[in-house]
Amino acid sequence: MKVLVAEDDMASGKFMQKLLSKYGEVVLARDGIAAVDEFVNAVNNNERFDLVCMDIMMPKIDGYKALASIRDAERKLGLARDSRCKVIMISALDEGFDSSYASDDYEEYICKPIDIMKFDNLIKKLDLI
Amino acid sequence: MGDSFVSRKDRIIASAIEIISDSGLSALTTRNLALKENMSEALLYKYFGGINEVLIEVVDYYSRFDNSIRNTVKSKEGCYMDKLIDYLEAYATYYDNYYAISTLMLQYEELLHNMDTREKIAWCITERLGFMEKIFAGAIDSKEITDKFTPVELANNVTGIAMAYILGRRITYHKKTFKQEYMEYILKWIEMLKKVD
Repeated sequence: MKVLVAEDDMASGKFMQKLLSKYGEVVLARDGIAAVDEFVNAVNNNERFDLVCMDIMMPKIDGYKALASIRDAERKLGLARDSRCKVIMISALDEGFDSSYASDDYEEYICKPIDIMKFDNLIKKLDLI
Repeated sequence: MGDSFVSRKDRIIASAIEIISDSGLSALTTRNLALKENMSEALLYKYFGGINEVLIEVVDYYSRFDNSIRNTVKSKEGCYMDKLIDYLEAYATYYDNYYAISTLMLQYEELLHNMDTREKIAWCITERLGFMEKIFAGAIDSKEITDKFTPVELANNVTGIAMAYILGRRITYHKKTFKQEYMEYILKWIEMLKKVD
């Protein structure tokens, strides 16, 4: 499994990296634009991410916009909807998640701090392991 | 490469924030922005009617998560001072990781003089202060902290210290992160407020 973790906070990023490295390769992006960049570069190199863990409060462009850009990139690159990568939105803003945002674009939404067991179950539920 | 999939408007706003952070609000001109985005000024006008339109979006971005943070803090269990710590920590973490955006806190006066941004930034400042005032009022009523200071004074104090720390980092190198420095101070300050008779 190849995972893109879009997370600006160093401590949270390292935690996610440690948590996910047992399942495969983890690439860390520190802002929204870097996340889109990593994603598109991978697709252009005939690699692909199976999972994107997207923080919402990020520099340059936030998680909502980065996700929209990733989905847009997938459409423009001709990736079929059923082969698109799975996305988990992650935020400390539990009560503040923007419900008007297109929930169709992501699979799950979880709050920080991340519960390791729940997160593992979530990955299983998404058929990634 | 990925940039081509990020909307041009979003990249222009991110660049505008960087220009303000690097060189101040007066450096945010269509010329500088076009140069940074490697585009012509004419093309820039395709996305924004003028520099004030860019600035309005910058202010929107600056306050974009305010409601979410407030709602999250409101929903948390705990005493008033714990809520305050959560509230301030959310901003401290965000500003630590996005140093450029913290510059907006140092531009309040200029943004208030600009008729296009005045209303938005005034609302943002008022809401932020108002939220903290309510927390302090609750903490005073429930005797978590001293009543020697009014909620307004306490909210102004917290805001002023944040501005001082943000400004200080733009003058000299600081070994500690903004979050470490600011939250260490805040925790000591809260302890003091709890002890004052």
